[in-house]
Amino acid sequence: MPNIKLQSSDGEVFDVDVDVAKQSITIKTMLEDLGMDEDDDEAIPLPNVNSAILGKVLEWCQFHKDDPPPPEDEENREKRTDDLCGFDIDFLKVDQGTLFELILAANYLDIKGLLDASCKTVANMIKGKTPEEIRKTFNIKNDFTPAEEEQVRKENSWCEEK
Amino acid sequence: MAEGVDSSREAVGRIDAGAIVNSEEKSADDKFNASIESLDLNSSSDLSDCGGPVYDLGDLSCLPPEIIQKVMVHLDARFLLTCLSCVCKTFYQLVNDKTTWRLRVAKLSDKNYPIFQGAHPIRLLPAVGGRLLRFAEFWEMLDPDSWVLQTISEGYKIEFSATPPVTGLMKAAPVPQDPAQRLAVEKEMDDLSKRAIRKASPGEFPNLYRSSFILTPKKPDTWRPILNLKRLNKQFICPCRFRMETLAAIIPSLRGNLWATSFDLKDAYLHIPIHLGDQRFLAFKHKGIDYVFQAMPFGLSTAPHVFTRITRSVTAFLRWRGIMVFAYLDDWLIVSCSPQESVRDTKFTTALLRLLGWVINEEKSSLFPAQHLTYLGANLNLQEGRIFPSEERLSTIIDLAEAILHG
Repeated sequence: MPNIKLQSSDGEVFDVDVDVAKQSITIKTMLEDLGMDEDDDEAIPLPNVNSAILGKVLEWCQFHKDDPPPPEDEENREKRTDDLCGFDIDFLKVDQGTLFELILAANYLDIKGLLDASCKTVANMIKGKTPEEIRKTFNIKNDFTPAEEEQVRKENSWCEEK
Repeated sequence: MAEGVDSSREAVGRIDAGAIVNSEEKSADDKFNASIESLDLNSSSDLSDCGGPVYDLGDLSCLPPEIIQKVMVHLDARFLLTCLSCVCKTFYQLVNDKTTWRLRVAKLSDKNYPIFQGAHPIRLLPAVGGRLLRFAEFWEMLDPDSWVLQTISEGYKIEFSATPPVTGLMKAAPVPQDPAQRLAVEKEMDDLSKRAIRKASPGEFPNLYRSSFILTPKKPDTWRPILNLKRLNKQFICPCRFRMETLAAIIPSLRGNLWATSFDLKDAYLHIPIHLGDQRFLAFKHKGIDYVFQAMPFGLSTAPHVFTRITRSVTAFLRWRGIMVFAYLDDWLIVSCSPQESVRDTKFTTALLRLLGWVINEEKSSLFPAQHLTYLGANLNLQEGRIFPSEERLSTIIDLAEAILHG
């Protein structure tokens, strides 16, 4: 199996199987468009991803490298958030900072599966909570003034009728 | 925060240990194991020590909007509107960007948005006329044209073709002499006051254009009172011609082995609100009290067009989602390729309609997938993909033919 080298923002070089790395569309495109040779000793720089996150991303890619391509739209009509595989659930049991960094890395590297799984994880953390619980969970500051909050509440008050 | 980082380090370390076992089981790739080892070293060191530009995350609301939208893709549309928008200004602006947020989220989710999870929240709404008014938020998600949105959120403004009249009848509508008719009027007043009409408060309108009620026979001995808007229609309103979807529109899309369900919307016109300023044209006097319609009455000549224009934004949205739906005013038909799809399409459609404020007439509906059903007075045979006139219509034609022949 041919390998390529990826360099994280903090300069660490990862030696990775090409097929594993190619799950990232960004890397795949780089390899194809830039004609980067697989025997090339030069590492591909990934200035937006640090080594800790890149390591985790590659761990995810390694596990999922034999996955079948994602099902076509027709099958996927119903959006589900409870269909994460066991590996992903455990993999994404990390603190929020790491989770958000993984999302950003997956977005930058264009790894659809990881992006989906991590966004679903965040969605599951939000689902069914009250605004106050959401603020607490994500440490979000309530930046409405009392008057604005009253206004927003009023706009939505009819939704809360029981 | 420090606590969080600590526990995260533990969590990362634990997961990595699991991953090593996993990767050994799954793959004998030595080089990958080497990279896992390096990963292990990294994860046990503090994340912030890694150097390089570490994204300053803050909290969820600090993520770029396109990422937050990717999370939103997985959440219920109602939840986004009613709950997420109350959390902080960032979310509020994301969701309350009235016309485009749904489209952007839909684009991200390959047109599978909005999703509606679980049952519709139970609301004890009075069955008031102009019910749709209270559901305007949800109509925005359909991204209908501005006329539809305005009509739903502010009420229908009558399209006058001449300068609207100042006054109509001065007298109260006469109370019929016939006891059956009188009973029918009483019943209708009682019924309408719950759903479609309200007392005009004194001084609310400078003047009222009053009409009277006419009674049309329904079945033997039963009468149906209708607000007689003939004069208003004739002199001041010129309804534009428009095309309704009839059976002719359905026939070309039919083929063999299809499944369908059908239903109708209860008190269809009464769902449509009337603009406050125009309610005075739909007034009448009963027992000395002035009433106005706050919902679309049956007698207004533009009603079918208004109704069709509004429902068209719903059918367009459903078709965009790939649901084959036909609507002739309040009679709806959903055609699907298999019983499973039929159940799914019907569920989605009825859930959407309820969300938008419509009441579905369960008694007059056939919500179970079938291949033989009656729609608009025709018998549909979807096994063979053919349409026949119903027995009722056939006998009318036969009777007519016989009458002509025997003269």
